[in-house]
Amino acid sequence: MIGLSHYLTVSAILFVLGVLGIFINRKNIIIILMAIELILLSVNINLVAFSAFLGDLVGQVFAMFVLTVAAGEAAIGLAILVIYFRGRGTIAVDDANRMKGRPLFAVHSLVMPANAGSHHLTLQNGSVLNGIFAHAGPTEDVIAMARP
Amino acid sequence: MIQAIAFYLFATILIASATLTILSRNPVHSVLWLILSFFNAAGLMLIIGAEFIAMLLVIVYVGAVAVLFLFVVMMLDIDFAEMRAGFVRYLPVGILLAVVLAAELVFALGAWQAGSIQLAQRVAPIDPGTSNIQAIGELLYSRYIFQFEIAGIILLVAMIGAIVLTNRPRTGVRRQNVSAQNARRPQDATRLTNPETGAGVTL
Repeated sequence: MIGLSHYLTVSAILFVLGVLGIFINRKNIIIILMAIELILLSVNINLVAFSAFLGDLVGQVFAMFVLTVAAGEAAIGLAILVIYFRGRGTIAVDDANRMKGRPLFAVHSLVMPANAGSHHLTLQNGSVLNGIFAHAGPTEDVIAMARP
Repeated sequence: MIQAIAFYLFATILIASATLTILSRNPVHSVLWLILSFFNAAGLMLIIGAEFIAMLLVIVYVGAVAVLFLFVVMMLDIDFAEMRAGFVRYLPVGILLAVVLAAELVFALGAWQAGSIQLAQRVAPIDPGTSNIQAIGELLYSRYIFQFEIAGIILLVAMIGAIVLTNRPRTGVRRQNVSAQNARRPQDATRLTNPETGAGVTL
């Protein structure tokens, strides 16, 4: 006879598979998101099994909310992935710390451009603004990535 | 008997397809194995009588989330070889972690079975007369209406967030300028010309 413990075992195995999936697919964000969906599926099975065997409908109601949140999280995660890919051209997770970005305000509007025709700001080596703009531009490896 | 066969069938295919989801080389294969997992989980839930959640799983998880995954996986140009780079290095530690986690879950399961269930403390007892959908509907729209509305707002925020994140300015798109259209006067719309035969009219 199939009892509650059977369902809980299935749910536990699924949970462990989900965690393992996150652990071994370090570089692949899509597989990580799918492993998170596996974890949420195992939690849903757990909730529904308890709801059915204890005769309490609250488990199924909560499973529906977990489903809602999982769908929303998958949508946002994939949207972030899409724009990450748009900017980088790859979905390797190791480069995620390069999403650091620039400081909030840019001071270059206060500085006269070096040559009148161009709109680029050229920094002299002794300029005070070197310190401010040291982080404003892309780092060398990002430039190397963007180079075709 | 049939229930046991169905349970073991669904459970075996569920666990097998979940394993293949995380082990596949090709992300498209992973998504397809995930879809199979969802179908089998829905089957498992059907066996114990939670048909609303089972159908919700099929419609929402398979029909929306997994299809979204498939879209994104097919849209992005993924280098498969680079994606598997850390696999062999992390697999032993991963398996160790998985075994430890499974052991912890087994201990928790055993400890739960040692205690007793307080049947009288059910929050929402299942009435065997009503169908599952009716019972959930009666519960969701009366006692849990606030959570239901909040779930709707969560979905709205997720939708707005996804649109705002992926929105980008597109050049060369012809749009309607409704106020300009509404402000057009009849004397601006037409003009009378008398061109010679063979000569065109410049607009």
